[in-house]
Amino acid sequence: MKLQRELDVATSLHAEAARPRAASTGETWLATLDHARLARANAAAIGLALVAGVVLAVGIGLAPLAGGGTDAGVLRQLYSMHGAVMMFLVALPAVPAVLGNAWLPAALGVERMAWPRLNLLAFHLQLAAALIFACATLLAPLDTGWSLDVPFATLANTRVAGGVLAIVAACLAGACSSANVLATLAASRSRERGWSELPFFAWALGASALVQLVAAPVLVVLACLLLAQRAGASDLFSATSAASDTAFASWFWTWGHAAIVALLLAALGALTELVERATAWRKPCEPAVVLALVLLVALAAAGSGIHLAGRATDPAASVGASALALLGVLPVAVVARAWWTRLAAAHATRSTELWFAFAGGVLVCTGVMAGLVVALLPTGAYLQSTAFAGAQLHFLFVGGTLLAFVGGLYALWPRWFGVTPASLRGPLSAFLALAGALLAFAPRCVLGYLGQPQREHALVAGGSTWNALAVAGSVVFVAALLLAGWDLLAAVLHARAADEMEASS
Amino acid sequence: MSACVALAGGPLLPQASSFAADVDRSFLLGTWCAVFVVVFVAGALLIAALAPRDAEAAAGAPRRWLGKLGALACVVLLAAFFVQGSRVWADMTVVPRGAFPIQVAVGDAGWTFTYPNGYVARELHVPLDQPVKLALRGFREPYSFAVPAFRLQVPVGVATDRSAWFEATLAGEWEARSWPRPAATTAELAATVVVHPAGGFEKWYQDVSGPPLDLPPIELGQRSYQMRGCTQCHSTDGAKGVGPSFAGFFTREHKLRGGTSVTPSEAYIRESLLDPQAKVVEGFEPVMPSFNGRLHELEIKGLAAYLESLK
Repeated sequence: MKLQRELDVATSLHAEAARPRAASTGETWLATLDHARLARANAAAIGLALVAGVVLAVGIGLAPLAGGGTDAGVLRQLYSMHGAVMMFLVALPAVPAVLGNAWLPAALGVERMAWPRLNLLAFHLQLAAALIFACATLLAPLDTGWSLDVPFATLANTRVAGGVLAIVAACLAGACSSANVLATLAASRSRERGWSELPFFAWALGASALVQLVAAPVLVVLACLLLAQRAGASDLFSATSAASDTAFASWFWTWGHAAIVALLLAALGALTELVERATAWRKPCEPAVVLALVLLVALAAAGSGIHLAGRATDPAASVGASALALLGVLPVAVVARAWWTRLAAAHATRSTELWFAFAGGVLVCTGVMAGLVVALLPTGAYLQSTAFAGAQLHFLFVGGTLLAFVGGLYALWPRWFGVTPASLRGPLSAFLALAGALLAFAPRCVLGYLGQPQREHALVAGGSTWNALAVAGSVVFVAALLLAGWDLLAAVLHARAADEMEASS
Repeated sequence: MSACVALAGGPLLPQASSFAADVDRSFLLGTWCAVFVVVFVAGALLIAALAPRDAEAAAGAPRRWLGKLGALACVVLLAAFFVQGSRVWADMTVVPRGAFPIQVAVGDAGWTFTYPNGYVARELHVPLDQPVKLALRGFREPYSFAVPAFRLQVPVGVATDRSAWFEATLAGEWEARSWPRPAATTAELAATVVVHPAGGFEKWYQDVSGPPLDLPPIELGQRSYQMRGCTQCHSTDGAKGVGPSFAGFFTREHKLRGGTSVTPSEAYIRESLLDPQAKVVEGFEPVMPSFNGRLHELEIKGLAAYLESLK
C-alpha cells in the first residue's frame, strides 16, 4: 500500500518533470490531475468570477444613477446574482481549491493530494456552476437573494431554477474539495508526523472541510426539494402554511450557519499561513489555537442545531444563540494573538502578501466585533436583516476570504510565473483595500442602525451622508482590487517580454 | 455614558421609547468595544510586523500569563455583555400587564391598526408614557414591523401571529416601515406612528370610539350622527348646509348630479357613507369624506334607521 503510494508519487513527479512547456493547452489544464496545476486553473476560474461579482456590485451602485425609479425586480436580480456569485463561485472555493491545493501537500509533507480525480471533479463541478450561473444571468437571473429568501424562493413568480442548479453544483464541488482535504490530512498522518506536528493552515482547512462536508448534503437535498416544488412535483414548501415556510428557512440556515463558520475557518487558516510564510515560522500549531478552532467547529454545530430544530425565532433559543455567538469572539481572539506571536517571534519579510494578510486580519476582527453587536440580544433583535447585518458579513468575507485570496496570489506568483511583483502598487493596494472596505461597510452599519433594510435602495431619513461615505469606500475598494490585478498581470507580462527579448538576442 | 449617547446616538436617531436608551447603550458599548479591539489589534500587528528585532530577543520566554489574563478579561467582558443584554431583552420581550392592545395587520393596500373599540386606523395612534401591546397578524408573506425611533423591529412569519410592546416617551410623529417589503406589494409600506401628547390620545380615542353599540338602532344612529361630525354639514331641521338636510330625507326622491335620481334606502345610505362621491345630490358639491373603515356596521344600520325616523 505504502509502496504503491510512493510509486504514484514518483510517477506523478516524473510526469511533472517530463511535461513539455509547450503542451500547456486547454486540454492539459482541463484534465490535469496535478494539484498545483489545479490550483492555478481554479485561481483563473475564481478570478473571472470575482470580476463578474465586482461588476455586479458596481451595477448595484450605479442602478440608482441610471434612472430615478429603479425597477425593484432588476435590483433584486443584481443583489441576488452578486451575492450568489461571490458566495458560491468566489468565497467557498477560494481557499480550499486554490490555496489548499497549492499549500496543503507541502504543509503536510506529502507529495500530492490524496484523491486527484476527486480534485479534478471538484474543478469541473465548479466550472459547471460558473457556466450555469452565466447562462442563468442571461436567461433568467436569480432574483431570490443568494440565501434563497422565503417567500421569493417558494413563490411562483420568481426565477430560481438556474441559480439553484448552479448552487447545487458549487456545493457539490465544495464537498469534493472538502473530502479531498480531509482524506489528504488522514493519509498524511504517519508515525513520524502525528496530529501535533500539523501547522495552523492544515488544522484550519481541515476544520473548515469537516464543517462543509457535513453541511453540504443539507443544501443539496433542500435545493432538489425546492426544484421539485417549482416543477410542481411536490408541495412541501407551499407558501400558504406557516410551518412549511419556516421549515425552508430553518433548513437553509442549518447549512448557511455552518457554511459561514466554515468560510471563517478557511479564511483564518489562509491569513495565518500568509503570516507564517512572511515570518518563516516553521512550528506546529499551538494546542490552545487548535482548541480555539475546535471551539469554532462546536459553535457551528450548535448554531446549526438551533436552526435545524426550527427554533431560530424562539425567544428562549435566541438567548442560547446569543451566548453561542458571543462565545465565537474567543477563538478569533486566540487566532489574532497567534498572528501577533508569529510576527513578534521572527523578523517579518514586509512583502505584499503580508500586508494583504494584515488588511484581511483587521477586517476579520472588525467583522467579528460587529458580529458581537448583532449577537447582543437587544441590538440583534433591532438590527436583524438591516444594512448592518449585510455589512458585517462583508467585513468577514471581503476581509477574510477575498483579501486572503489576493494575498495568496501574491505569494504564489513567484512559483507560478517565476516573477515577484515588487512594485509599490502591491502594498498600496493592500492598504487601499483595508481603508476602502472600512469606509464602505462601517457607514452601512450606521445605516442599519438608522433603520435601513438590507437590499433596499430607498434610503432612510438622515441616511444620505452615510450612504455617500459607503459609496466612496466602495469606489476605493474596487480601485484597490483593480490596482492589485494590474500589478499581478503587469509583472507576468513584463517577465514574458523580458524572456522573449532574451530569447531573440 | 449619557455623554456618549448624546455624542453618537443623540443626533442620529431620537430615543422615543422606554427601551430606546437601553438598546442604544448596548449598541454604543458594542461599537466602542469594536473600535477599541480593531485599533488595538491593528496597532499590535503593525508594530510587531515593523519592529526590527534580532533572533535572540525573539527567543525570550513568552509571557504566558499575559495571554491567560487577556482570555480571562475577554470571558468576563463577554459574560457582562450577555447578562446586560439579556436583562434589557427580557424587558423588551415580556409584555407588561395592562398594556393598551392594538392589532396590526398588513395587506396589499398597506397597514391597518385595529383598536379595541373596532376602530380601524391607517396610522398608529398611541398614548405617551403608557405601554402599548401590538398583536401583529401574519400575512401571506413574512414581513417586519419596524419603528426605528422606538428601536423596535418585530419579524412576523407567514400565518403566524406575533406580539410586541413599547412605551412611547416622546410625543410626535415617527416613521414605521415594513422590513423587508412583502414581495407582491408595490405600494410603499410606510406608516406613521402618532404619539399624542399627555391627554391627547384619550381625546382622540374618544372621538373615534363612537357611541355604545348596544343601543337600539335609532338611538345609536342619532348618537353617531352627533359624534361623527355629521352635524357640521347635515341639519335635521331642514336648513340647507354644505350637504342636504336630513329632515324628511326618506320621504322623498332625490335628484342627483348627472340627471338620475335615487330613492333613499339603507343601501343608499351605506354607499354614501363608504363611497360618498358615487351619488351626489344635485345642488351640492362632492366634498364629503369617506367613512370607510371608520364606522361600525351597527352604526351604519343605525344611521339609516335614524334618518328614516326623521319626518
